[in-house]
Amino acid sequence: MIFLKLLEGIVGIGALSIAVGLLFMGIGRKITARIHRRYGPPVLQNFIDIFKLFSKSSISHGFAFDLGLVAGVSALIAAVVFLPMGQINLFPHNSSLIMILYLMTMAYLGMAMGVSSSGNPNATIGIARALTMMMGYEVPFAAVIFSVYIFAKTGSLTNIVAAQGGGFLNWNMVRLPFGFLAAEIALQGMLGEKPFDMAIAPAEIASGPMVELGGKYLGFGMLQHAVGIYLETGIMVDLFLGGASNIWIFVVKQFELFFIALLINAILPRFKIEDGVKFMWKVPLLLGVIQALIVVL
Amino acid sequence: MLDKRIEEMKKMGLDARALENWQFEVSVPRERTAEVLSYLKSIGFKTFIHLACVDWIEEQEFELVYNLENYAEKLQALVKVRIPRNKPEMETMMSIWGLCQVYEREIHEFFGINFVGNPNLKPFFLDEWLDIPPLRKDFDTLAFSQELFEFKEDESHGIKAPKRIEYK
Amino acid sequence: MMSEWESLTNFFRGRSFWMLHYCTGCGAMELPPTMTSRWDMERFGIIPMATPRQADILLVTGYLSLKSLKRLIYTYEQMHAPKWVLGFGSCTINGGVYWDSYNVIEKLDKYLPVDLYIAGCMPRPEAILDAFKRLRELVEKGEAKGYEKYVKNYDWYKANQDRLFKRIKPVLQKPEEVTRSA
Repeated sequence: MIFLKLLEGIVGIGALSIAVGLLFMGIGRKITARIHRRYGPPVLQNFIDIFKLFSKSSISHGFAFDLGLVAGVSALIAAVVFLPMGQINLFPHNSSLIMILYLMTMAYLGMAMGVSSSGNPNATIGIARALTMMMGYEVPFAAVIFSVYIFAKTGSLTNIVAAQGGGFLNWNMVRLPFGFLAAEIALQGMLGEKPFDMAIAPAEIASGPMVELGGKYLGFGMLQHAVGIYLETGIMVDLFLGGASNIWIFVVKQFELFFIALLINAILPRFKIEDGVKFMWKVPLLLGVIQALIVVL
Repeated sequence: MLDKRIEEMKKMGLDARALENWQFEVSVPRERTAEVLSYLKSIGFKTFIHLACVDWIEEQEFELVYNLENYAEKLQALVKVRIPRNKPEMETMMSIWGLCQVYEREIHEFFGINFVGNPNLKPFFLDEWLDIPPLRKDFDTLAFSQELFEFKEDESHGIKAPKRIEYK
Repeated sequence: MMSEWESLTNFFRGRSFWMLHYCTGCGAMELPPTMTSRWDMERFGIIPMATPRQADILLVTGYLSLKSLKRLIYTYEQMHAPKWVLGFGSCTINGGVYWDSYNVIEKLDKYLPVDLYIAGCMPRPEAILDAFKRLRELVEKGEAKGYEKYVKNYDWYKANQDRLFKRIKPVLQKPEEVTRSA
């Protein structure tokens, strides 16, 4: 009985995160086009793209290739299942942030394994850049999580959300402003938006990890990007914007964060990988350490 | 400046004349090419711009034209060398300008002139080329193109064979 | 005729063409105006992609010398089915301004299956968008099957390609003896 409930919950949450992620990507393309003073595709364009991609024939490069891509999507959906999203909270006693971050990292490492088994040197360069960038943004993010944990005196996301109840002035965004700023910059790196999109870089390394993906595999890559957007903005909403009382307000708050990332993406060029990591270890890390000192002392 | 250079060339016993007020040409026999080129390089014509070839099929000769530039005085020099067409050979000028290697490779591929001393005369534009060098005037490019790409006349679409121009 | 599932799939395929950004000849300079703000191509769902594995449409934008035709055939064979080839400009139709050149091919349809030709030298961006609209109609009717034609008639296409790339004797036997009627 409870197994059935869990199964329908997991499938439902998987479908919800995919649908919301694809919708955000579509709205993102429209907004970017309007910033460029052109019309832009319809808002549901990414659903059409996914349908088309899954109807093409595909060429595989072996077992590790298939496994890596499936691991990429399924580990992210597994992480989303543990996230408290308004009134949907499947595991209220088990929503530890460290576990969610671990599952997220496992997804990217799985995709790295799959893509680099194709043998294309562009893919290897792209994966090297993506993992180096991950090392770059995890350090300030860890400093910020440290301050949030000590401030809320708990490690479970459900309790962090509950501690922010009671109005706008109780949100962690207002109480821990430096931490919020540092986490915003780390979010830009996590989402893979400019100025930190050197892993994808279409004109330099022929789109990096996605160079050998085609057809159904590219469909999986796009789904992974969609669920990644949902998960990362969802973590930020729970940590800093006070969660939400129901799922619709949760999605609206996620869209606010994604909107800021989009606006920065539309106007900035791209960092080199060395400059990106150096920037991440200077400015956001400094803000995170200041916040940690304020909280501890 | 231009007249001074032409006077110097005439003093060396060469045939020189002005083409424009910034360009002059010098005709040299084949044995004196290296001497004239290095002399011009020493007096200021340091930049090697281009090496071209002309096919004088009636006179049965190839003419190589070395194009040099003097940026300080804003003058261009054309050094013209004639070699016989039935046995085309020339010494390489790589010892004066190393850049000549690439231009000589191209002229070897398109005209068939052998440059003695050039280490790299492999073809690099035309893959699997088995005919005579294509920029010679006795190469019939229209016939080649129609033969290789299987041209067919097609009255219903108005495709007719074009009129021929005969090169002798 | 087409089943329901196939016509639904063709509906979606026609609204999200992904084009390979491979600029063959001088026609490629008409692509940036088509992609940017003035004649926005993204509103029809068409975006340029970086590698052949990700793309549906191969846009052959101009003349093809023998060297680039070889590489283009390798690129075409790496794309995933279903895929479409668009011949762009008059050089792919009958040789264009290079009709008498020894190094430029005259008819692309002999070596790769072309679904749609766009006439012009160069076609304007409005003509390119019109061609994509026409290709969408062909896809929805189920008539654009160049990729299946290539697989079925592979021997014929390969014979044409080998005539160019695997020559064993000179093309003009005795140059001074070849004559053609005017």
